[in-house]
Amino acid sequence: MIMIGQQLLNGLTIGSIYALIALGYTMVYGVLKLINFAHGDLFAVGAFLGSSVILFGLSQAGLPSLIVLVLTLLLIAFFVAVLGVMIERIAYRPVRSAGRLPALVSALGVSIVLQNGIMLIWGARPRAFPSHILPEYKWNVFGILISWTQLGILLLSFLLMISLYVFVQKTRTGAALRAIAVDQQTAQLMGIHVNKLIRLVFIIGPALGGIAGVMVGLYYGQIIFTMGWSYGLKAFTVAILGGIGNIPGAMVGGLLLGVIESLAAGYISGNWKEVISFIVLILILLVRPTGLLGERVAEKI
Amino acid sequence: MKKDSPVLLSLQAVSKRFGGLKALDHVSLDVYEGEILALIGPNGAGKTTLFNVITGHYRPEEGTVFFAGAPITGVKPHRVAELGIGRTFQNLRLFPSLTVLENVLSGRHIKLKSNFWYSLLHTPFERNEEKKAREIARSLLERLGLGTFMDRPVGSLPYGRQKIVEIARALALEPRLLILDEPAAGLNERERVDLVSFILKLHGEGLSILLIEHDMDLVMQLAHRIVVLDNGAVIAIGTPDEIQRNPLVIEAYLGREEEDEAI
Amino acid sequence: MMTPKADQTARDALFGKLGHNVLTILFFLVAIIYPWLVGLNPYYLEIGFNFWLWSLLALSLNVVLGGPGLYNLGQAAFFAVGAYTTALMNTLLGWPIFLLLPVSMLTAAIFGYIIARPIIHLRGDYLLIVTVGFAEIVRLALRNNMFGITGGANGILGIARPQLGPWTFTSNLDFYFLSLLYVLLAMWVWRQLEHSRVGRAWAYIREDELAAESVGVNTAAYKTLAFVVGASLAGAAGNLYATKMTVIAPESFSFWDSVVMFAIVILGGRGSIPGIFLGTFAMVVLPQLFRGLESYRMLVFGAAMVAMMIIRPQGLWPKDMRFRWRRPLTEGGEGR
Repeated sequence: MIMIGQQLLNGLTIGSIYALIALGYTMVYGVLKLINFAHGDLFAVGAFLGSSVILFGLSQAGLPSLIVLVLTLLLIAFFVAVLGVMIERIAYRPVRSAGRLPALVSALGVSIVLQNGIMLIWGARPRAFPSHILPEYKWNVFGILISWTQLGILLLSFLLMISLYVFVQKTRTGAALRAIAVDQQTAQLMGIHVNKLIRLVFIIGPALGGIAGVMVGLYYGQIIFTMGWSYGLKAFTVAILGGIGNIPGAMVGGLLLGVIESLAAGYISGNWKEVISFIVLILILLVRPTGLLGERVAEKI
Repeated sequence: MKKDSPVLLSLQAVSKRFGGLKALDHVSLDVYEGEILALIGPNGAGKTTLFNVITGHYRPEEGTVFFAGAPITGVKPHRVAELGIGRTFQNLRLFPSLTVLENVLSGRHIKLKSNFWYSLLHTPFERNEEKKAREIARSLLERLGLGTFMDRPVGSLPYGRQKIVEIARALALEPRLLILDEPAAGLNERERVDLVSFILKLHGEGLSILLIEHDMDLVMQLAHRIVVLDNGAVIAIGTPDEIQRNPLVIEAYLGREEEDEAI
Repeated sequence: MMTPKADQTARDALFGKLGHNVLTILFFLVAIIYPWLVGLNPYYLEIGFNFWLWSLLALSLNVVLGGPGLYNLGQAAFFAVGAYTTALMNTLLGWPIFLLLPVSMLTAAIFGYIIARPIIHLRGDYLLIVTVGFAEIVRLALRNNMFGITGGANGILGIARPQLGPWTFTSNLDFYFLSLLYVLLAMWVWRQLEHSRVGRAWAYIREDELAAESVGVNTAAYKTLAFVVGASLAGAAGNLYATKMTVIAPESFSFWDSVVMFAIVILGGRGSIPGIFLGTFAMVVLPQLFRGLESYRMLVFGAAMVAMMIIRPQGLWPKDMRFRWRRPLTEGGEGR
């Protein structure tokens, strides 16, 4: 029983990180119908930049840990968002009129650039993340161990997700985002500024991704330049699982995948963790071809 | 009139829902062999939905569609085409970067027998069959006055011509029933006149035709009978004369159209 | 800048039927004398082999991506199935390599059918991610030594070299020409199918799936067929790769490999054989030639992919250059 509880908690922690990354995929997909393959690498940039900023903050500036952490998260969100906007401007906007395949290849190209950029700057070997910035103390709640890091990740990611949810559901801009995901042409006719929304999406998505990068660093204590692809693939799986373009779907999908994975790792074998997430994905798509919360829209004929 | 001819297509109490919206509400109608039946009704009445139910693109929740006496409800679109229903779409759906000839050739797909191995090896049978299919497609295009455009990508043709190519593609199937979704929309006056005489010619050759059209003059010229659809339900069936005099139709359809135009 | 008219004439000369044939003959002439052009230098022969191997892989993916236009980002899985079929049946049963060519193609084709059949109705990006998923499942299953015979992460060693009567293929030169033959086989398959009922049905699906259905094309069957044919050609590539390397391991069949195949086809121009050769040259040969730049190589490589898509979204050598008219691409008008 305790083991299940522990696995659930671990699953929720990693799942909420998946969800944060998946939001970037799903939001970009919603407005551009593009799988932004570079998004995973933006997340990795967040992790690496985060490690450097934290080290600098602790050693050079000598600030207290909590302040360093908060500043780091803000800085990373900002920098990665700037990077995201730049990428959209340079690599995606020029190919937007050319259909979906060129955009897909362009995104793969950006992903390669980012990944190798990280390798050139921080090296190819795994790098220790200054995760000691948070105390190592663990609470024991009915036998389930909760660390500061886990608590922080859960609280922050839920806070971010709820804010995003409220923003999307309750504001005019949010309504525009939802409208454009359903029908871009009609949305445009209704006077929605597509370019503005695209920029917004390339601010929110990468910012969340960058924060998720820092979280992964804190949680596992180790980062590597290829992490963008492995996490990216998983987060994209999550987005599909929830129904791509669907923001609550990405949140639900993330938590679900995190939990399934962690149960599989605990009860089956760690080696099969990745496989199981894909098997789950395929099984779900066989039953519901548009994901868990994706709408079954009849195609306009 | 064709009242004594056998029924070719028959819809019996067909209903189709989209979420909460009832797009078709127990629609029943018959198309007789050799007749031209026009389907009219205000925008959003469910005309195109009805077509898509017939061709198998939508599956109705209730009711049955019979074609040539056999039920075809829930049959896949490609099987419906094989059974002998050719169609066009409201907004052109051609294969834009393929040539005009290749577009029409697509209508011959079901008539060809070459399987994967024949295609891979280009056997004498396959070559012969391909040659014949091309000849048929060519002569069809010549007949429609599109001979000179044959090898141009269809997307580069003017809209009116593209509409004709789409009809040619459906005709290449050698269908028993031709379904046209707003064939005259977007055509200029001359093209309209040509279209009318062309449809009459097809009818003269014994083809049964079901069409949706907003152009009332054209409908009155062509149709033997008219079905009026409003809010997903059939409100009237009759000859053009009967429909023009039907108060329900004038109220529900003609009256509202004037409002539409006022806006 | 050429005037439009002169431009058109130049294009017609270059890409008309005659010009096309002349170019094809020239290309293969150069291909045949290439080993002597580089003075039988083993390094350049190796690059030559890689060129043909990747062209073959891209040709195999092209059947799916350039045929019905389905997004398949997991082609490496079929490559792996072909390679492991050859490796296992050769090392365990001692079957000769050339006999294993059709066997590997068949195994990969069956595998392609099993994978494609249940997922073929998925649209665009959903299909794409499922193919990625399947390919990852295959790679991890091989790495985790799922069947107890695939050798886990170390893979399989000691695969034999192909024999033809008394003749054994061993040198770089032998494999250069062997790989060229495999490519010719794949080219033949594509050419034959492209201009046939099957190839046209694929084109109809690519252009407008719904319209294809309405003229009686059984879209699910033809899409599955494309996966099967593509998989069998990737299986042939696996056979070639296994016997060339004599050692194979799961990491040679990763997501990255699928990405490279995908990029070659799009970069070259979907459905176009010359495009595939150009794409392979750009994606595989150029990076190898610039080994000296080492670490900056991949950075430039990625940036070049972006730049290419901005400058020539239709690919380096699109399928039919005579059609200068380009279809207006509407939002979501592709791969729905």
